[in-house]
Amino acid sequence: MRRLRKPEPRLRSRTAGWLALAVSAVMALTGCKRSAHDPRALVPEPGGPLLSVVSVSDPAASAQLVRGFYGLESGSWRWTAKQFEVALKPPPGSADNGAKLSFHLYLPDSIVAKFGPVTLAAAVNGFALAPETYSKPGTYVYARDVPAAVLKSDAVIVRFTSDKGMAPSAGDQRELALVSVSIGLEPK
Amino acid sequence: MKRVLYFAAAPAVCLALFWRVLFTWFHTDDFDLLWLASTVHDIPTLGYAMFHPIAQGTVRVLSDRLFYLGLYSLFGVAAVPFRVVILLTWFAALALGAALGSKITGSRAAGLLGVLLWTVNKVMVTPLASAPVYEVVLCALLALAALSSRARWLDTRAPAWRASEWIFYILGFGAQESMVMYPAVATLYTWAVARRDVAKKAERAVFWLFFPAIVFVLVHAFLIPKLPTEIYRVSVDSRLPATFFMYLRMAVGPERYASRKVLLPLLAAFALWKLRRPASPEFGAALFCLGWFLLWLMPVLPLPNHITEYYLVIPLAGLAWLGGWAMIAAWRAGWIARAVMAACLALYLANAVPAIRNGTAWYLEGTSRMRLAFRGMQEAAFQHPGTIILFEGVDDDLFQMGFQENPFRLAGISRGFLAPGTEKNISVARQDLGGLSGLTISEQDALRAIENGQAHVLELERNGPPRDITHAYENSLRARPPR
Repeated sequence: MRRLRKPEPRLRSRTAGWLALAVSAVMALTGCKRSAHDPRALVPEPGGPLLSVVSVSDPAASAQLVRGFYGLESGSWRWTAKQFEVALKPPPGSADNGAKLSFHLYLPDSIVAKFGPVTLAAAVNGFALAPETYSKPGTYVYARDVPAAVLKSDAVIVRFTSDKGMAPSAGDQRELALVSVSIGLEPK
Repeated sequence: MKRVLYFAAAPAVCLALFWRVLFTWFHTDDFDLLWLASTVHDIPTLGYAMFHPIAQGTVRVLSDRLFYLGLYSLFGVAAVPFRVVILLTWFAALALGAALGSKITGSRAAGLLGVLLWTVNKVMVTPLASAPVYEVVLCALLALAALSSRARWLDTRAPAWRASEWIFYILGFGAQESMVMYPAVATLYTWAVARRDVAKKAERAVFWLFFPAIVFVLVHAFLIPKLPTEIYRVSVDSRLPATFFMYLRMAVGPERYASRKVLLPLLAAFALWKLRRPASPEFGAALFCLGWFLLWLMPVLPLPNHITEYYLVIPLAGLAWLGGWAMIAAWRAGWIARAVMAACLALYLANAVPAIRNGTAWYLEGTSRMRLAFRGMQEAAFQHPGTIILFEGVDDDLFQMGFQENPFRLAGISRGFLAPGTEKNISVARQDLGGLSGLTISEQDALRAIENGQAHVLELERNGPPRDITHAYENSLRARPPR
């Protein structure tokens, strides 16, 4: 078997030297010890105190959109699922006088055309409020009085339930019920 | 230049197929070993980290301890240096494998083709992408270095080569326990390939190699405690042949296009053809290739509950040399044989290349998610020292990248839990590692910890850094009906 000719010693050491330099450069550039502190490694939660009135387009209030809200669209509204919840701070004086719950919503044509009238119900910390039925598409305000007894704590959870909604499909994996604009507790 | 090209060919092909491993981050056992490295701050802790048995009683001083301690101390949790060292070790093994294969088969081309077949195999995905498996790569290098030294000593009788063999052999025990098989491999090489009479005085020195192996086996059997797990239960029973044939099938790659049914019989036929004349050098070479495969596989055959692909790394070299030799023999035999050889090679590559691509892509994607999660943990630990972290968005893919291996302590977090209820999404928790018991927390405890400022909640995104959702999650817990 013919042996491969060995390269000259100078060529061998030069090749080895370049190789060692290249490897060292790669290791040094890619392996330098990185500080454990990197603010970009964690997306902070939008800060700020709990609000009584939440606009779904406000990034600072997104932490209060507890469940059932989808991504912001056109910078101003969000689709909701059939059941959705929001955390609200009772306004000053509501522990004695109660408050008014206002939910600004839009009922799309596509929902009404497919399912007919839609009934929306709400509960504040489990206290059920009277439902409301919408027969036509359009902009509405669901407004109900909330008794003071329910508003004694620093925060309340308002749960909304719609009886109709589009099931997830191949085209859109979201369950779509209503379009939300703002939700809030206002002093009476 | 020709020599450089000859020895650079296999590494170049390896890099072209396995390039993703350079960007693969850490996972699973990495976190245990990195944590061990991070605990070293004086001589006693260094001694503990270097020599205390872990896992199944293993003390791999070179491939686990020194590897992790050294690179962690220089580069922390940067994974690229680990990958570079692994690849360079493998490239060196390929170079030695090509040279040794040339010597065994009598053909330079067969030696090169052999290591190309060796590296272009799905078996290499985990060893190159997974630093805790560096043991098999390093052991392969040291075994080949020892055997190459033996080959040079048998040719030249220069004492330096004999010393070199012993040095690489002893170092091999710091790489992996399989090194106990080296004496048998060296004896087989001396008798079958170098065609020396091992009973003669000049060659009897090979038997001295058995003594360190015997001592190593005795120390491991009687002095190192073992964990009583079913996975690592040693069973010498009727399952041995089935385990062997399972490994044999895995060695030629996935069974797409009936490849195993074609390639294995043809390889066996070639081996039998070379074994037909016991007096010939070809008999010894073929016997050595088969013996290499069997001997390096023997230590894991009694582990029928732990059939693991990467145990094939070292044994596979034997079949690869035989395969390279068969390709050259076919090339020299005429056009029909060349056509058959080309078809077999195409079949082999049609299985191996997609499997390598999919395997390396899986490691890259999974460890990338783990890296994002880990960096988020580190930042959370920096911003909120001493708090526990709850994780939303952990699925099976992310979970098996290391959540059971406690990456939290390495990131500086005191405890980590799956967000209440999300443990139902996990179906891959290993019971031998404690299942999910240490990772679950009740809604009540979670809410109390968050309200007291002792816990934060991170939502792990698929393609982006984690998001702190502590307040939103707190509101969500409050909204749930009490259980």
